[in-house]
Amino acid sequence: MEPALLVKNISKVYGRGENRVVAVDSVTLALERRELLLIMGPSGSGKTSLLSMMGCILRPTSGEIYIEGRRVSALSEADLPDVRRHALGFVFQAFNLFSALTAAENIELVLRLKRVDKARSRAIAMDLLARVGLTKRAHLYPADLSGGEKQRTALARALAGDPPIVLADEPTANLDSKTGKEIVGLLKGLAEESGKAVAVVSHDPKVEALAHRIALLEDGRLIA
Amino acid sequence: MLWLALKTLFHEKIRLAITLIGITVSAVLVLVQVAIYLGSMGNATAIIRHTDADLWVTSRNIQTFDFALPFSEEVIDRVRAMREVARAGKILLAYGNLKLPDGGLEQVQMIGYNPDTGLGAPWSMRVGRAVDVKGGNFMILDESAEPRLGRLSIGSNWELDFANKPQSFKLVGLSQGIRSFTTSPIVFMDYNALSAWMADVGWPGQTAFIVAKLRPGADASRVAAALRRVLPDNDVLTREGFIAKSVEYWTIETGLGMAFFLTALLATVIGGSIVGQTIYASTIEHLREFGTLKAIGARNGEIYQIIFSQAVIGAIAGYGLATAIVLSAEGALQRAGVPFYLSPALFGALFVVLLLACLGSAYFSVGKIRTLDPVSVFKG
Ligand SMILES: Nc1ncnc2c1ncn2[C@@H]1O[C@H](COP(=O)(O)OP(=O)(O)OP(=O)(O)O)[C@@H](O)[C@H]1O
Ligand SMILES: [Mg+2]
Repeated sequence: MEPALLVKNISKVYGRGENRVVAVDSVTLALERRELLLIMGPSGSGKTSLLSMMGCILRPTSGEIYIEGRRVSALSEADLPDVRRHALGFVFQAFNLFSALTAAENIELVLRLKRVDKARSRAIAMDLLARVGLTKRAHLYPADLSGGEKQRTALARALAGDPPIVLADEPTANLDSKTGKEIVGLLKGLAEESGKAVAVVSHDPKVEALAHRIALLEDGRLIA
Repeated sequence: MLWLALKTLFHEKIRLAITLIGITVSAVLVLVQVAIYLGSMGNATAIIRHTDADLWVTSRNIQTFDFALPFSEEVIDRVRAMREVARAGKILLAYGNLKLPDGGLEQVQMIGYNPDTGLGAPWSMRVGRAVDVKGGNFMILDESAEPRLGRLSIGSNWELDFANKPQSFKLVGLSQGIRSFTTSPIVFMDYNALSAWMADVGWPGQTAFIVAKLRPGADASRVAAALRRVLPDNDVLTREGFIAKSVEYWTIETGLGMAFFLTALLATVIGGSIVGQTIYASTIEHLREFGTLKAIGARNGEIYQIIFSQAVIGAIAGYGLATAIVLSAEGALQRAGVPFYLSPALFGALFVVLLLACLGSAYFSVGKIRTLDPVSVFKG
């Protein structure tokens, strides 16, 4: 069976001439289902660039990307939103919740975007919030949630619509150690219990301890 | 996505309030300006519009109804001689002064009409009938002049001065909602009474307008052209032509229309930019959220929808409030003598203008979304 996500020999070059930066240099990497992959590396080593390309948000300068066997790097710009909508869930360092929406509505929004009807969206949102232990906080706005609660909401949102792949960039960087640990635990649970392919960019030792596999970047190259 | 637009709007209540106040004030301003302008133009052309005639013969180079100069009554014979003319009549116009009970004077517009044919007669009567002025020094005033002239009791006698030859007139009726553009009260009287008075002050055999009703099927502009050849010392205007000419005079020649137009335009621009400004501020504030939407697979079009819906919602809510305010003030303004004309079509047209202004200024925010890099959402 093909991996959930496969990047083949991808590179990302920013700028030209003097300003030319090779952010990602010929990286080949597979992300399997049921796996929590940790992407590590020093600052500026190309982690976010790599994750963005894996998430079909950033176009590689060269190389190929396959999602469940489909070559998405060949798709036009107009087709990429659909790929992101259906195959991918994202978790961000700064949570990126909608401030005008409650925790439940933040999840519903993604479902509505995926054309799930209103009543079903509500039910699914409550289900997902229950899974991250936020049933009682469902009606609160992000401003009234703690950092950990926000990230748990964001995690639930990433799972809305049941995408096979979840990508997270520094999901614990804005959290204290204890809450960070909970989030990492939830991410690992996604991989092991829900069968998701999970890639996390982090230099958090807590993630390191729980990761199934580690990809180490340096100057854009995969060194381990 | 309308749902998210609504949620975002109502989540920021202070911003919403400021936006609504802004649009409402600007919409009220636009509505009032346009309603007063149309009301004024309605008054300026009221007698032309309410006289059952296809053609108007006036003094040469007339600019507007109110500035008609006298010319020979005999012209009517040449008008009647046209085959297409079914009937013709005369209307007199002169300016006099009405002596008020408190001793003051008020300039009035005197209109002499034929009470038998009703050509030039008041068309909307509150008390009495138009025919009541027949055969003597009788007059009809408009009830709206009461605040300026004092109590208008039927049967009371008033002194009217015309070229220093004052005469006494008895009030026999009250019309309703008939006002001149110049706001001088209109005094309706028997054509013969005014004609005799004019003769007395040195203008015998003069009239101000000859109006003609054409036979069915006759082409008014063709007949007007033919009449012009016969009457080189007069203007011959179709009903529509005279209305247009009067409106054009007050609108363009006096600069009045420009003043109304500029105020209305300015109010529209201000209303639009208030909406644009708040939407822009809100867009900038939610840029990360919009980036997140892009990252999780929303198309640009779907995000534009959010922004444009906010503009539409703002326009609808603000305009709705403005409509309510203007409608509730309409009665008071009418009573205070402010010329005011509103219609559903006007409300509709001005809404479209305001909506376009709001959408146009919301468009500035769209550029921000188009160039927004979704990778930016990964920043801490
Ligand atoms: N849009 C861009 N334009 C030009 N250079 C960029 C751009 N984005 C990233 N870079 C450069 O590419 C390199 C890799 O950046 P990237 O953000 O992928 O690294 P990172 O490993 O995520 O770093 P950090 O740990 O600080 O988040 C850096 O040298 C960065 O300056
Ligand atoms: Mg990074």
